[in-house]
Amino acid sequence: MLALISLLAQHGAPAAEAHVIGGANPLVVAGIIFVITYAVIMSEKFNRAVVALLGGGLMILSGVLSQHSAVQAIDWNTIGLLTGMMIIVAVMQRSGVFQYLAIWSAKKVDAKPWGILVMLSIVTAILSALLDNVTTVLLIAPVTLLITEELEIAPYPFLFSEIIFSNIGGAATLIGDPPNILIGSMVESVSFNDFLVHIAPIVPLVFIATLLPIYILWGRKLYASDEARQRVLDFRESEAITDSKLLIKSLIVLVLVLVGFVLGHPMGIEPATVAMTGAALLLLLDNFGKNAEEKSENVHHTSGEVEWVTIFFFIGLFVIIGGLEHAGALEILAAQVVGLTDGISDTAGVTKALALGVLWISAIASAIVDNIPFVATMIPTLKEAFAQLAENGVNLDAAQQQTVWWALSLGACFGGNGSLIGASANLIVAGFAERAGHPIKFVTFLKTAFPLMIMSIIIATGYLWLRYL
Amino acid sequence: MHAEPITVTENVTVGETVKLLAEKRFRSIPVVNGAGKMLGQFGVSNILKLAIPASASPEGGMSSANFMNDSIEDLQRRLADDWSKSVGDYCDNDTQTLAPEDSLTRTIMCIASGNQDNIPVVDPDSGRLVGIISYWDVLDHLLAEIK
Repeated sequence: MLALISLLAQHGAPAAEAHVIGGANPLVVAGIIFVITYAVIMSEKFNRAVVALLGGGLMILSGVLSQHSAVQAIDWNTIGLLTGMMIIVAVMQRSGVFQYLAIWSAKKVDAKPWGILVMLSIVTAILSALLDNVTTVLLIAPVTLLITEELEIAPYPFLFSEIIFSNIGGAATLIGDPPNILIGSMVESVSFNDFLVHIAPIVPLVFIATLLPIYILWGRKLYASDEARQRVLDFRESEAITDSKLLIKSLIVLVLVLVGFVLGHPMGIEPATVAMTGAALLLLLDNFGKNAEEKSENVHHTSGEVEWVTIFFFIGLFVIIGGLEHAGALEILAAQVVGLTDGISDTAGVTKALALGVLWISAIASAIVDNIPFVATMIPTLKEAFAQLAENGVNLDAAQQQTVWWALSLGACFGGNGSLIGASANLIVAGFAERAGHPIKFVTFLKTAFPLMIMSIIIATGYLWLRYL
Repeated sequence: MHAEPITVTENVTVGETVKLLAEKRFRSIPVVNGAGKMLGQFGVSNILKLAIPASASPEGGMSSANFMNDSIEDLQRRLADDWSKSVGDYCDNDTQTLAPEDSLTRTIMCIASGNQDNIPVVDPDSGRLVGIISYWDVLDHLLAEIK
């Protein structure tokens, strides 16, 4: 951290707009705010949204950037997409569909423990691809704990698998994992369809490869008595659907939104527009037939279900990164990234070095820090790196640049499995497990998760090499 | 207010507490430690929660578990598992309480707004239970003034 500040301090040219109080070097001020904010976020001692907003506020108050520039630095496509999908999920979950899916899949395998683990992993992965990870695990974890309690078996293997497969499954689409939401929203050339074509194919491969060690570690030892299995088989999954009309409306809107993502990009319609319009449509349908008071209460209640803490966290982050950009810090970070390609002059070679470097660095970094702030910083840094390479006569074409974005996506998404703090969904499940009296210890998780993460990155390396490099 | 309410100490078992509640037809009973300090309340709702899985509750993240279809034997087995455990581990720690000097209005608001049908009165300095007020105590007092 201190090395980073020292590096920034060596570059004395201030950004055009910055008028930092006391005439201080904006690079150093921005660097200090950035480092302290990220360090406090990593320490988990304070709510990360509060820390990010404070960091963003300091960037403005210290004069690194103006409020106008700060607002411009916020990627509203990301914010709109997140908010829209959160509203859709908040309405959809009231129908009970997530509990239904979990119970239906458990009964489909005759309530056998290993079968349930596999089915819940598949359900978690698919839902994570279509909806945000955090909400998926928020809804799957409680019913998982209930099923394992009825079966009288330890929930750890199931919760561990749900953490791992929510991050793996979420990598398949633009809307699945927060790193992909950031990449898809902030990089104009990357669309929803691009993720389906370029990233989704590797997901089933990594899924199966990850399931094998889990079977060896736990799967073959899982056992539940016939009496315990019967309790789960006696679950009436149709009773889990508490509002079938709402379920139909939600599914219709979800399908429309997914079609909108697929068709939108060629028509110049960004994901945020699709998501927010879909959310508004679902709210309208949800409130049909209700009186004015009920409608108002319903909309207020649904609005309260949006994870505003996550939204504010993103807003704070964007302002902090905007401050770094205005101070010229990202140009310096980008130069360090370009340094990975020193001695290589052909574009193919540069793409190889950059993609593999970004893949592995993103994976390790995403395991150590939350992958959201890491990716949010890397995106403008990589854009700047491409520009610097072009200035040096190494012009990566669109396909080559995309390869680097895929490396970032795979590294950050899979890397989030490396530790409990690697991704938000991990901490949510850990919180549930703790409240249920089955705490997931950091080191216990790390001992199994980190090697699995490395395995997935090795597979990703092979995939990138064979397909693009 | 009843100055010497019936209580159970934290080490009394769940089974013994249930028998006492059934015998006295109380809905809930204060749980205190050896020094008489109020720890919480244990009542019928706590007993019923012991009969269902811990994860099938709003605290466990499930807003509803209508799909569950446990038999009476399953429910009884679950309850029996906790019969010999200490009641202090299962009482509600977030029970609303009153202080001896609290007003009648505050008392009425406490009973009217909460789920408790009796409110323990606790000394604010020592935390000791000094009495208990039931909704009938309050209603009788209110109606006496009207008469």
